[in-house]
Amino acid sequence: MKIAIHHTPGTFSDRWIPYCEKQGIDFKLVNCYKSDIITQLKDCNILMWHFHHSDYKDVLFAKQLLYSAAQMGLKTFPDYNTCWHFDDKVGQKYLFESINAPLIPSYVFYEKKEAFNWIENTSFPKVFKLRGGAGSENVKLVRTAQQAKRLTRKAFGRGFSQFDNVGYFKDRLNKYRSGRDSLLGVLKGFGRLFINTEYAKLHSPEKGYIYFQDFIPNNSFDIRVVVIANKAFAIKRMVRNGDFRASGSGNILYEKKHFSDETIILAFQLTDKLHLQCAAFDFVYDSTGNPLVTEVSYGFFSLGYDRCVGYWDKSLLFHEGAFIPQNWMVETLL
Amino acid sequence: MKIAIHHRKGSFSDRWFAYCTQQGIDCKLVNCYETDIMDQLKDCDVLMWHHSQIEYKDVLFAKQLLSAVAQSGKKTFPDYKTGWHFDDKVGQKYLFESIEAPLVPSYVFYTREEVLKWIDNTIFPKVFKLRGGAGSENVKLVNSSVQAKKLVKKAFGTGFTPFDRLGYLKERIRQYKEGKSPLMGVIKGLGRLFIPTEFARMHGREKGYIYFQDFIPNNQFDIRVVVIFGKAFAAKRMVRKNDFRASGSGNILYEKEHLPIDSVKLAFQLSVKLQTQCVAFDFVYNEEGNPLVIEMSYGFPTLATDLCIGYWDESLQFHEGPFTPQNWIVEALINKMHFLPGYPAKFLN
Repeated sequence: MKIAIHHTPGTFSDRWIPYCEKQGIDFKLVNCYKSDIITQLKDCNILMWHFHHSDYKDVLFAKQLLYSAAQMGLKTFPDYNTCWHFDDKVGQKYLFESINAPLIPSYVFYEKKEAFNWIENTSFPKVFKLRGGAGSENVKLVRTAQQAKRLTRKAFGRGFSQFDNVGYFKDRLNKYRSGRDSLLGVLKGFGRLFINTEYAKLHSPEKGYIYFQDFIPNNSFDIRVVVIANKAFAIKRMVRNGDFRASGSGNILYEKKHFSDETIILAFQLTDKLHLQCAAFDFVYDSTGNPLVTEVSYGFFSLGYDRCVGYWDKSLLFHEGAFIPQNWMVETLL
Repeated sequence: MKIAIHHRKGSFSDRWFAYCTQQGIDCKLVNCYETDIMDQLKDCDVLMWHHSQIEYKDVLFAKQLLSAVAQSGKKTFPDYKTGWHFDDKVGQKYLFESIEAPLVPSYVFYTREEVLKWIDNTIFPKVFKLRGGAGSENVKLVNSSVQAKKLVKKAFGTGFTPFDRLGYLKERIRQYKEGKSPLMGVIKGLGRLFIPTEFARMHGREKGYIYFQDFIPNNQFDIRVVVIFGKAFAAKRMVRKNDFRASGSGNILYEKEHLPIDSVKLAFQLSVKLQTQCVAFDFVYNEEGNPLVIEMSYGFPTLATDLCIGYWDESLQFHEGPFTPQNWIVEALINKMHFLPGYPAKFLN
């Protein structure tokens, strides 16, 4: 049994490699960006690649490469069920609906006329999202039909840049004001008003569709539950001041008392139904206190979870103490 | 068993619906573009959608919708193994390599530095392709490293539009000269110089990667073989005059004597390995006379295949006479034919 690992600093592979070394697991580093990657994989049984949605190269071919490796007989992390919907809220709408998951009601339109019809007959506010983007990038509260129509015209006209530079600057400024970002961060945000990220430069504008979700009011936080290998851990993310978006806010709570059993059970159920290797679900709560899922992602930022005080197993027993979820990813593949 | 069919005029669904009606198969038409499509599918067991690579809406979400439907336990056409690599030559490069198929050697690069290094150490001509596009659109013969570097600059700069306006006009003129298209076609081609197609307008430019294939010389034709659940039929497509591209040329031969059996056999082998429901392979021949695969597609134009004079079964027996391959797809889905255990194991050797 030999594992091929594609290493990108700052991703899961930072921990996969030391774990394999420590456990004496046979592995080699491969470079998925090389044209001969399939040949590199010939002597391996497993391919692990924590590909990222903000790297344009990964978006171009990571899923395709992983599916091909699977066709070759390799186990992959992530596998097809786990990753085809990664960074794709449109795909996730269909996926969650297909298993009758408690999804926040979501709407997608591929024609301007259809979207306008719907706008005339729905209530506001709604939440506008692009299909891709993390940390509340590309997410806007839409308060009126007029504003919704403006967005629709743009969606079927010149489209949206993948990187919202004004939103990015505002976010850094707000974080600086509340002491969670440096002045340098703000300056960087300011610079991004003029200089596009490599990702935005290489990626085409998003257009040809428009996506809305119902707005679930009175949520001052969201809950993120990560499930890997029949284990779950969670964080509570408080919304930004004067905002409705929690993801990426940086205000995070870790104590066990913040998490209901019901939410943890739901995360386990969804993971099982969808056959996911690794899934981070975001939940908000409706007016009767029931959890609703907003989206799912196989990837997460490792450091953000190191302060979790423990994890649940499938019988909801809580295991207090430190743990390294990236190691579980390796274990389940062996 | 109830089948949901998304109807697109001119696609497989023209015949699916007629066949279901005629056979008394329970089916209904659904509209995949509606936001409530999952509700529409509630009472169905199968979703069939012949989605298109030139319809921007389909490209945005057809594969995703089919994946979601399959993940909930319903059957789909195309299914994941048949459809994920559709209209994606980059994905197909990895996939064919992964099963050690005789692929025309193909190269893909995601950084300028890597590809420039490669260009300095390879030989020309090579064939440049965008990952998407049918009928030889977006395919160019690259005769020198200078020309290749120019393409690299564009791939990592402004990028390519998925619709090549000048190429389209040239193609229309060629078809007119050969009497295959009316003068109106040329006029349309002229118009397209100024008015982009809806697809080009909605789709972004292709960039951030560059893809080349080795040029296989002295090919006057390519062979297209379609395999659907254990049956195969084929056609020989002659290249355009003074060109190297066959796909979309419109010069097609259907007689059995033009169709080499080794291509048919290879197509069966590949479809078994890939576990595809329906797949059209394009083959060319190398200097030793062995077939090499260029690309594949689950979809194909209905009318062109109507002229085939028969099909082969798995034991390479030829069955002469007309047939309707779209019906085979419906039959297979109803009979829950998937990849039957032992399905032509002989082709795997």
